[in-house]
Amino acid sequence: MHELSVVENIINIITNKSKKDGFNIVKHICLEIGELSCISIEALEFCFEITCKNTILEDAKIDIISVPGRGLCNSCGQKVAYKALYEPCPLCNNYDITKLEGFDMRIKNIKVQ
Amino acid sequence: MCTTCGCGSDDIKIENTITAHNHDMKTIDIEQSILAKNQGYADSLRKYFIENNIVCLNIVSSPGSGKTTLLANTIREINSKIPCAVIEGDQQTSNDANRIRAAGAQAIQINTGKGCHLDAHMVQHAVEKLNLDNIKLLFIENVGNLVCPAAFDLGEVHKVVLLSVTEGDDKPLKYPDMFDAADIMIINKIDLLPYVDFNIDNCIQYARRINPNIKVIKLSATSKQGFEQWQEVLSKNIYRMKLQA
Repeated sequence: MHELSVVENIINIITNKSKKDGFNIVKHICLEIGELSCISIEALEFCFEITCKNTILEDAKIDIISVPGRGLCNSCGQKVAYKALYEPCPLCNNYDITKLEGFDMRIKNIKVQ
Repeated sequence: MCTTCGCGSDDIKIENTITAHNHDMKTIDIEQSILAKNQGYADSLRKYFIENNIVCLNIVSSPGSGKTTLLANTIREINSKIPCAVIEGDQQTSNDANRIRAAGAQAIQINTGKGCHLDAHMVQHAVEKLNLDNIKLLFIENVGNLVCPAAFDLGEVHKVVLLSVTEGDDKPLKYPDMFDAADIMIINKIDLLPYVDFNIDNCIQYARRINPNIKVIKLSATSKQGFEQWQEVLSKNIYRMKLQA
């Protein structure tokens, strides 16, 4: 996936929020990016700096919390670490795992002045 | 006026005291998915399709797997009994929409330019331009790309991933996001199996590692081998949609 359109989405969400809440300067933004989501954190940080010029996020420092993958194994019933979609349950080697965490991309909060 | 943060007015008097005011930042919780906007459009499309009894399928694959041929030949088989329409997605040209029209169904072409996937907003605009009054089946042929379309819900009832036997049987392991997002996998060009090094059982096994519940259909879009199973899936979905009404 492409991080550029993800950053554009972030800018739209925060710009709309600024119109509702009446702030003009965002100093800090905190994102939660799942390890199994479809973007690369390094690429996202790179795109962020370039794409946010002349936007409400121009001066914002970005913090990214990386959320590790976790799943529920439908065979042994245990909650397990989920490192990749093609990997089986580390306990019982079964592939039938329900996703729990680590797949989303979220804006957690912002700090404004 | 405070030259630090711009607050205050010219009436503030300071008498032998330093007026300190709060330059602290205010935290605003957002707690929102970054793709919430696309999801909003997709949810609205899904609701529209259900209200109008339209089964919508999002067809995804690498370029050249046979999506357009599959749709054109499906339309030739069923369109007289089950009216179909197609939204086509490519970077450039209307070639695929023209092929669909030649097969006898309404088609609209979205050209994404530099874009590599369709999103729900584009599909919303395309739906507005189609006449869907009597349409039972709406196919969205996504841009040929096994990566990006996985993340974009278009309001479909099924995401159908096409994989042809000329591509390599380990595709599901190499592109897991798409095989995870899809719930139907069509293995196409099975008429070419005698000429290629493709182990169909391995391919299905790999796909089921990523997505244990994925439904598998094996067919040839050109020779129509295996078409009955595909038509059965389409009919079942139309019947289910009718029951929901």
